[in-house]
Amino acid sequence: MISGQLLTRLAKKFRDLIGRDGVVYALSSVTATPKSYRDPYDVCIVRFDNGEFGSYQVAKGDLLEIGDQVRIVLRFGFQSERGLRFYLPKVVKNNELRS
Amino acid sequence: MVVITDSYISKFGEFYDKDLVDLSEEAINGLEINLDNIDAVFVGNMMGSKLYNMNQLGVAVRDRVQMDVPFFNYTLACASGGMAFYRAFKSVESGEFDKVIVLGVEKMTDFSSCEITEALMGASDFENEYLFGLTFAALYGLMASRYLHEYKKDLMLLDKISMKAHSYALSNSNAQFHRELKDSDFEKSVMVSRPLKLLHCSPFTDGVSAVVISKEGEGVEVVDVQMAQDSLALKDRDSIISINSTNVAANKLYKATGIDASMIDMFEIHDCFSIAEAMIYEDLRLSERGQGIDDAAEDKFNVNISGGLKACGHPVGATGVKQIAYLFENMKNDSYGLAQNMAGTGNTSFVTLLKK
Repeated sequence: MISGQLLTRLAKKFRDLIGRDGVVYALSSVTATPKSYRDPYDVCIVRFDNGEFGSYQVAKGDLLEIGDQVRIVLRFGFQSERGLRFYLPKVVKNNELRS
Repeated sequence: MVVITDSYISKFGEFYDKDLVDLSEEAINGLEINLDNIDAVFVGNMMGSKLYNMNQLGVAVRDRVQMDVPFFNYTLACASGGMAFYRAFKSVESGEFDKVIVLGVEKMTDFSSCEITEALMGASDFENEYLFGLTFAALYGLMASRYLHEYKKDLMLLDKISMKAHSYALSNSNAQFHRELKDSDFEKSVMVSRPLKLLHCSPFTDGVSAVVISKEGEGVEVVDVQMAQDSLALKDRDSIISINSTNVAANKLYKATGIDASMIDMFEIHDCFSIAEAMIYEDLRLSERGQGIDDAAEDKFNVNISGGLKACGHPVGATGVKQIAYLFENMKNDSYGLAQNMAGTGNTSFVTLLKK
């Protein structure tokens, strides 16, 4: 189980990710989920505008295709066994942000 | 010269009545050798530490079989067996030991698929993959989605690769599955990680394999073993539609031995997902880039006659040793065989060339 201390350390890393734009490079989904996650979700590799890559979960409800413009936002990730809610950088369609 | 003189491969499948030590004992006792002549035992296992809280499996096996020699543990994800073999080969080649056993063992079916999925992610990058909820099927799903997109290939080619594996496994009495697949099976197969369905994935398996390698004796020559590594996280690779560590290790092996892919008669490769088989054909230089998926679907080369990981089964820590044991047991005279074993999404690869 992910600890609060770990998430605090990672929060710094997450801060640098939020708001970054890129393009969906590869796309998949997770049906058989690890125990921290209850519902299936999509995952993707994003190619950022500076040429770097990153792998993330897709925000719930967003249907993406390879080549879509996306942005990294902070969204609910999962709830720990002790009831703590964890937030993760996730990928959303860029046009959704504009609408 | 280093030779393989004996081997053992258990039946692969689900064995609720055996634990890791039982399976290891079965393999050591299954070898037709005098154990008094063995200098050391190299044990490959991936998940004993995580699932059974066993950090010292080798010592537990040593206690059971009552052998007063060193037992070394090797853990390198799905390449734990390959790593154990590599180190054992180096120890015999260098003269440190004369005769050793390499053992690969795994027990996966005591736990739920959720727990195994989580444990397998020990082979991933924690902060960049595990934490974001990626699973191994999802990582290979990402690779498959890009491969199919880049080369404009049809998903049905992956169906054919799985069908080929199951067809070969029919003739392997140790294989986990003895069921021929039809086109219609893929329509019903559940989606695991888009675009990969259950029938594109290797199963959870219990099993053990062992080989004896020696400085002298009758057997199959280990011509060379090479390894190479790449980034742990998929996102940090130069390409996610090839297994570069396999490519580098194979090129080193071909250069060192003067033997290339076209001269090799039989291959056992790491088809943990059917898309992996397609990419490995290209990285072993059996196929041109973008052609591996067609060549694998057409069964163009003598690859994974055992049924591979897909249909023979994939007890992760045992697979690397089983591939070599299977070649040892099935190669014809005057032929070459190549085993390719890798960790995770290909962060580490081992390629082993055998000659009979």
